[in-house]
Amino acid sequence: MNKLILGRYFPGESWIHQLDPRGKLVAAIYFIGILFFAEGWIGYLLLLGFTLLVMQMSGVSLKIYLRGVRPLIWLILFTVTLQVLFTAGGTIYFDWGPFTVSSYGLINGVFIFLRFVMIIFISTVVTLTTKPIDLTDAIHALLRPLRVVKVPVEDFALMLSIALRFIPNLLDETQKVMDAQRARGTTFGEGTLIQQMKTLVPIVLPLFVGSLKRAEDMADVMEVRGYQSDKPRSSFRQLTWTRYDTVSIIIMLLLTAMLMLVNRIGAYY
Amino acid sequence: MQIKFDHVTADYQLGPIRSANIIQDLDLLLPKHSFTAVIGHTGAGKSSLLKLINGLLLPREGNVVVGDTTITREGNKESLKQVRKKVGMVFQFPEAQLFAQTVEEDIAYGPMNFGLSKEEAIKEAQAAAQLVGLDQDVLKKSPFSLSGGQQRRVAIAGILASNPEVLVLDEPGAGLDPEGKREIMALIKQLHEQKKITTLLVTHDMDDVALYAEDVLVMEKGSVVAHRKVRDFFEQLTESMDWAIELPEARRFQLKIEAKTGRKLPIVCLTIEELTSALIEAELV
Repeated sequence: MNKLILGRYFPGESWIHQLDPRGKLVAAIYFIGILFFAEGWIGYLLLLGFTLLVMQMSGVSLKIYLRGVRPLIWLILFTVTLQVLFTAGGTIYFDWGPFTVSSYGLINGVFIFLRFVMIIFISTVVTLTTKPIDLTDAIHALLRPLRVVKVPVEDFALMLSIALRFIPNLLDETQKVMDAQRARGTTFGEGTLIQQMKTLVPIVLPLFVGSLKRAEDMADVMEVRGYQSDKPRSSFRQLTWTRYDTVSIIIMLLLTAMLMLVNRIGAYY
Repeated sequence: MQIKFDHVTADYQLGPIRSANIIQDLDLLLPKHSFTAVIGHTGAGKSSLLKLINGLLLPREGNVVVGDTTITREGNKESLKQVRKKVGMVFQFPEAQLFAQTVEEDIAYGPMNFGLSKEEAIKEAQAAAQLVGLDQDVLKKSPFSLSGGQQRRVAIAGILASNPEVLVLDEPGAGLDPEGKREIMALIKQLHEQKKITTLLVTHDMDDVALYAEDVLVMEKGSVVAHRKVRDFFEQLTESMDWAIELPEARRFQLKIEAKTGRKLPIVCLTIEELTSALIEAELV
């Protein structure tokens, strides 16, 4: 449970920490976008270098980032394997029915692997260096234009912040219920798959009951304090866009230009 | 069943972050059939002490001996199961552990985990339900349809159904109305006396300590700072001791009477009954 780093915030003073969450979020999504335009080794190396630089600047140790990749490693390897086995072209090393291992396949596999890892790293940078509440504010701010087409942006942002707010509570509660059931003789992670699934019922059910109860309480409290979903509201936390945020966006544009250039050079070889 | 802590140090490991030691080099001997109240500030390590007895928290150094089973750092699976069978643990707000469709099934969950057949477990469940004063017709109902006090009884029955020889309780009366709390505490006392269950009770209420416990254990910053008989403890407790422990209600009242009348009663009174008879004897009423 404690190994999960998704949505966990590592406090720090780095440059990356201090960026405006809106800018950070846009930059990260933009970066993931341009990842798909990289061609050839040099392009990938450029982007990988940039990713590692950003990670270094965040001041969070590489170990933590690697832990973010771990839960997804099987999915990545599966995709990479498919890519390797089904891409033909170049020198063929191995051939068996529909499967071929070729030089193109291997190169593609490595690229896909790098792309996956970079996506995870960059999004981890954002979540590790931004308070969840700031991230919610950023999403709220970025979605605001959608209000024109009657999307309930406020409600959406509220739902998101409530969900994030209760993750730690839920983890605590899970631990408590697990302890209580272990004290009653449940052993987790033992026996056949069916047996293991059965031991989950005494955990999940109390959690559901608890969450429903809490949701009800929360709704009551919000009503009592006069919450209405369709009223305009101001915000206690104000996001401020600084020079550094503009600089970071410019850096992203420069990176794009460099990538295009590198792609062009690569095309000559 | 005797419980022994031998130089136990423990902490909660949270991924890469290790908390400070929650339990610090703790030595403790709880004799057979004792009834010990554990008191201390929030964060003094009371709940962790209980978890150590049950193997839910493993010692980082030293070992915990429950009866003839030893819990060490490695936490051998078989011995943990042994210990959990012998030690019943009632958490704070234990009704949060209810999950089954009927009360009966929920109570029988523990015994079945400890290897009883379904029929035997149901039989134990019925006996436990009777013990905690649940009506027969409640057994077939959903535990979620019951009142808070009833739910707590069901949860406690679910622990008693495994016939533990040791019972550890973390504020079993918290959040109940005074009547419900009194009933639960009386039940625990009665179990202790009839079944000779070694009992360990975490509480903030000094009246509970005075009324039900035999020994008292004061914890501070993960260590035991006092372990005495209840009466000795309250007799020696002066205002100046820095544990910030309140005296039982009757004793506080006694001190007020003594201050007002200028007469000292011959004994330290811990319960209302004691105080009443002492006052009658001293002819103050």
